[in-house]
Amino acid sequence: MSDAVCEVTRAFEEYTEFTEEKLCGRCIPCMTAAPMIIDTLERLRRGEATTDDISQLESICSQVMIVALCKHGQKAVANLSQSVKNHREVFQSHAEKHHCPEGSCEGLLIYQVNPERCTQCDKCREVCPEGAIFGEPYIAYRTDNLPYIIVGEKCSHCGECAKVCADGAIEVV
Amino acid sequence: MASSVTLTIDGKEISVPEGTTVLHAAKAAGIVIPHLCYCSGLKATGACRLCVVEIEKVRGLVVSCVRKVAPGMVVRTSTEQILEARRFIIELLLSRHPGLCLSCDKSGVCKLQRYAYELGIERPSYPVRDPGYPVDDANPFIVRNYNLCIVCGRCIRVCRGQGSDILDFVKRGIETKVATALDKPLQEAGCDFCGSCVGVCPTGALLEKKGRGKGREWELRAVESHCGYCGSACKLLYNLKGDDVVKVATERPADYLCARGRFGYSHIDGAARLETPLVRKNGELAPASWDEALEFVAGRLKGIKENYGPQAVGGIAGALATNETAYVFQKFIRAGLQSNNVDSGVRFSGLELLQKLEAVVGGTKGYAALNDVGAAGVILVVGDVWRRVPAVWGRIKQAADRGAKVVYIGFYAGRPVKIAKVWLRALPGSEHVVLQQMAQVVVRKEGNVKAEKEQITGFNRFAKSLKEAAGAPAGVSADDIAAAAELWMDAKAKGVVVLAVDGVTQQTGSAALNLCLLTGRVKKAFFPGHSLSNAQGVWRMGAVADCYPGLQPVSKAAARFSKLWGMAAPDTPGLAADEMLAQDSPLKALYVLQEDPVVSFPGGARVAARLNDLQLLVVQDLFLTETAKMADVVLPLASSLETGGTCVNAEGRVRQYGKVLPEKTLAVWQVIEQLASKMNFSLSYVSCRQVGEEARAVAPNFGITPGTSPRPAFQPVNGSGAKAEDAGSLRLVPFASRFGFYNDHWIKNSGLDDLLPYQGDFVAIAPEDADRLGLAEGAPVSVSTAYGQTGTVVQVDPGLPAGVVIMPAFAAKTNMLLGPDGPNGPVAAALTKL
Repeated sequence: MSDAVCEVTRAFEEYTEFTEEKLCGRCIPCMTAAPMIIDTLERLRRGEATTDDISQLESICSQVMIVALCKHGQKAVANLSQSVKNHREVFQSHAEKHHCPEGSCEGLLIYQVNPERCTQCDKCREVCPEGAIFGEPYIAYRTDNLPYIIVGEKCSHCGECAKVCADGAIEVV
Repeated sequence: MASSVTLTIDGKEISVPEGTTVLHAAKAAGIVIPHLCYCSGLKATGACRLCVVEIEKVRGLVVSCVRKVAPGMVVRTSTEQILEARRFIIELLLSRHPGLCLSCDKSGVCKLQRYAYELGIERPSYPVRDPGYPVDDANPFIVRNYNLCIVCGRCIRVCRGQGSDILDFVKRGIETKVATALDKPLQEAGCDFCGSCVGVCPTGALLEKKGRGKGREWELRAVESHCGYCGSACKLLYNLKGDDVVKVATERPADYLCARGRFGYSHIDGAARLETPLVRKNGELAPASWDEALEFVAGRLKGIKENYGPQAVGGIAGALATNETAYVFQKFIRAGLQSNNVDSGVRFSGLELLQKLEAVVGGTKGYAALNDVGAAGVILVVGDVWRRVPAVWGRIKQAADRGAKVVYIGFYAGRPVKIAKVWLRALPGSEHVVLQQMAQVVVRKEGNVKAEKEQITGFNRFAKSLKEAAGAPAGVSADDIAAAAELWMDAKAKGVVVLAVDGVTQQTGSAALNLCLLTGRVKKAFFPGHSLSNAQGVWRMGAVADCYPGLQPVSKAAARFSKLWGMAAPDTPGLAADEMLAQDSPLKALYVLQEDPVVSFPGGARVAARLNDLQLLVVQDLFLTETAKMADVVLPLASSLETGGTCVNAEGRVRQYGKVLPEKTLAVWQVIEQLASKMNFSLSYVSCRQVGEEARAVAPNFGITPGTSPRPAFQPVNGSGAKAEDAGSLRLVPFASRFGFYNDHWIKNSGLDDLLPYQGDFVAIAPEDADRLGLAEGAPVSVSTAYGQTGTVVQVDPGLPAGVVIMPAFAAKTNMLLGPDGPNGPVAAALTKL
């Protein structure tokens, strides 16, 4: 895990702080747009959003900026707009490649087994909720002992396997 | 007069008064700016942002419902940017509106739907989310489905302004919703179901429960009429599909109607309505034909008249009858039966005060109307008027919101307490003492009561009675009285007394009138509220013993009316209702029309006993009332909504009932005409309108005499308050419960009684008295007074002062317990556990 914060996450946290602290809910645009904005950002962080969602997010923000009643509401979407503009490639990467460059969006981490370290203990395969890990337990004196593999298409990025691995063989790429 | 401002809107130049909002200015220029949260009659909040416009030299978009016009402003209301913004807002709203226009009752009048259509939104761009709130339809009248709510806040504002102030936004941010405190169902939250919120709701979030699925806007036809439940006779629109009332609406969305007006229409075509005459045979009432019933009545009336003379017959008309009905009825009794024994229930509900008022303020022109109440600067609210004439509450509130000072005189800790600057908690029976003491302060403060007031008739007697009242105990602190008098003395403020003529004692009414005169407020200072829709009209139409139509004294008018009617009219004074029903009256036959003396006259048991002695009792009513059950002949009555007609409301204005429903039975004039022909004379009527025209001709404008000049005179008021009673005894007062009404059948058959505690059959008692007597909420109890005894259940009401118990006004059980002298009590009562 890197310490750097991904821009999508930062924007998400900034906006939810606004909805939790300041959003009063007395003017319609601000209030009705908020659930949609939050939803879009969450889907981006989970790698479920598309590039269309990013353009929709931008258009919602620019419209709310025009019609919202007070400066708090206007400022919140203005900041969000700015984030999308300044870090477009980061947002795009979340949407197109389902990849978080900073490796901080938990939903987008790619887990891989380091074959040098894997001892074929079978713990990770047992805990994987998606059945995305394949391999067979180590049997002494056999010649075809192969390290375990994680199939990217099936992986849901939950990180359970990395938690149980006693050998630190499962790494985030 | 505000100066005018000229501005340009979409290229049109227009001048409007200063202080107008851009929205209204545009409207005046014929430009419609869409809006959701703004509603005329309510404060603008600018929450929905739909009415945004562009104003030159102003940054960004501006909401037009809040922005005031300025000279030289250049406004554009439909540029591409604005349309885009509006479209966006509607799209956003649709994203949380999981409604199905396909089956929504509001379809066709829903504003959200309308704007989506106008802005050409074919399919929502954003996914629709269902908020998933539970639907509250636990009450009989209003369905609250907040999944369709667009959080515009109209209902909150209207509830605050004229309702019971129970709605507000709850929570914050994206969880914001409209709800009652702790999100309780309406009934538990203290809603009084005026339905104003339903009237202003732009979507299907609030609906009339009775009308659901019965028809939508484009299928309905609206018939204008006026409400027949109380003296304000509010204007309403019956929305009908075929001949079924689907809902009741108002002219403008924010107009006030109380629960009775808006939801209480089911009694008209309920199953309980009488449709055929009933004649008593072998002790049982049995259905009969009109011919048979009227033949029977005519024969009996003739016989009694011949045997005992015309003094032995009489008639009592209800105060709910239309002008036309009252007129025909009194003409039949006076000219047809040669007897002036015609009277009305108005006798027991403030007739004397109405008569005094007529002389003092110079007819109805001198009354304060509802609008005067709304525009007042200082308002004196006496008693339970806000429950007897609910429409007045909104006006009082309006005035108070504008900064008017409200003084509330009454024992009940009800709604006015919230907004009153001074609350004088006079115990029942001593309200007039408090008013007298206020007058005393005024006299003393002014010291030199202006000479002109001393000129007013009766001043010396009045001043003397004030001295007597000065020392009388009223349970109110002298400081409060002084403070109230101070407010009332403000000569610059427009002062209005608001009371229910039928809800105060004679003394209280007179004392309030005196207080007006004392501060020089003669005209437009007295709002004579009345619980009964046509008390004024019935009185002015001559259906009271003292006068012929047009308030003409009997002795003088008889000759004139003999000429007008072409039939001899007697000039002997007639008997009033209480005299007719006295033990020793000469009365042998009584015709009762739309009145229920057994239930609604004080001392019901005595009344019933007297009616039993009669040789003939004819009752004509919508339902089989308690009195009708004792009658020899019961005649069905056509409702005013079936025949049309007019009434004179509490403000003294003529109001027209619409012909809303098909007639179920003969109209009153037809019945009386047939009855007359069976007695070998004719009143020669052929239509209801003709009756109205004749009434107008003999009593101009239904007896609303124009232009008599006021003759101010101080009214005598007996100085001492209620008699000091033995410690521990309770004072019983009739008090208008939420929907107190003269005719229980209307309430019951409309389902309104479900909204009353214990269906309106209870005695309310203060918590400390309840503890002292060991009575718990809902406990069965027997209430006894010197006049009667009845069983009911206890309601513990923290709004009551110790020593006072209340029972719903107008209820049979309550009137049983009251003395013949005071329909408004108080009487000493004892409660015993059953």
